[in-house]
Amino acid sequence: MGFLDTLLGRHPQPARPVRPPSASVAKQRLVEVLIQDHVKLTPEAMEAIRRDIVKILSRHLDVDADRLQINITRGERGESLVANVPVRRGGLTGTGRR
Amino acid sequence: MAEEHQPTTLGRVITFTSGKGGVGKTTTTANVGAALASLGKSVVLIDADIGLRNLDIVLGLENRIVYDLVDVVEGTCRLRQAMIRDKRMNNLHLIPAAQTREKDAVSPQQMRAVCEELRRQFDFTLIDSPAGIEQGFRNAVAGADEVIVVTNPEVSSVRDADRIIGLVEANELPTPRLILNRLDPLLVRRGDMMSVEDVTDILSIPLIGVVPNDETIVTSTNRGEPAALDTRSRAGQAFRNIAARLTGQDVPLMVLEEPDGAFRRLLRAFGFGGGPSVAVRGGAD
Repeated sequence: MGFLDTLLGRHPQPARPVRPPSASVAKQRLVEVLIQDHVKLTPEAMEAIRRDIVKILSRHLDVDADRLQINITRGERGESLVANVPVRRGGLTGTGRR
Repeated sequence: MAEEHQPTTLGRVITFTSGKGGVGKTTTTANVGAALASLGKSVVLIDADIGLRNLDIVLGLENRIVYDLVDVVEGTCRLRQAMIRDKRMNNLHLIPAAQTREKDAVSPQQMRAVCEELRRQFDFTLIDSPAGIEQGFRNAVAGADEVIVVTNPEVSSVRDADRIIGLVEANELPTPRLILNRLDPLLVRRGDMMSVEDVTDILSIPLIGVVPNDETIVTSTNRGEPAALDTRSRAGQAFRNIAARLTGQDVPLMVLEEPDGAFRRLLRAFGFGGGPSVAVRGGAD
């Protein structure tokens, strides 16, 4: 059985999921771990940053805090923190009170 | 103070380091040193791996040691007395590491003083750094003008190389250059090894050379004869290219062909040439 069946297509092997080449996996894992190595931010620190961003921007804008996204990304010149701060409809007409 | 006699040009002090052990620092230091000497430069190699002496045996000079680096800094002997002249080339020298001492037997200040003295006498002082990021590493870079980071195309050594690059820059040294050692073009082509571009993308420092994985390194190390002196060795050629680049020559990166398989030999026997090869390009100088 086994080999012959396979050869004759009697028991087609389940299609193996296509795995990305191990070198690309290595590169991707390295990129991610190096961001962690460079920017030593604990989850608590990230949470504090998130709170402060909301607090400061809310003085001027109607910020949708639930959809706020903060990411550390790696670019040409090292890491940067990128925050995507959604603003509620009409929020951009904030009064800018201090 | 009276002015000391200054030679017309001072030599360069270059440290080879990696963070991770076992990536080929000692082999690289020995081979680049031998290649520089074969270009006619006066070269001294320092084994800064105190307690784990190895550069001597890689160079085949292990039976000639009388004094070592710790003897020099402690004043037990003069600098000249600790220098072992190479068997093959009279312009290549080694200052061995102490084998029975600890890393703290030498301080960064003492290393700086030794390097200052050596740069007056030699075109190149090459320092083989110990693995790690502690005192041994700090000693090895203390007197350096330039640092070369050796890495393999593999996750742990690239991660450690990244860490070392940060520490070199924190030591106010210029951006180090990279040697990618033990690259296997066949694995790269199969997608199972990071390529030169992958590694230079991640580390973002200039490349000074790519050394193929090559069994002649094993045999030459067995014999204590640097592969850089063997004109048939591919890795030896890569080390000679690195030496030439260090002297300012513009040498293109080698085309790393696949190892010669049975099929390829058969093809050649029937008159089909070398077949496809894997060109390795990168941000080389």
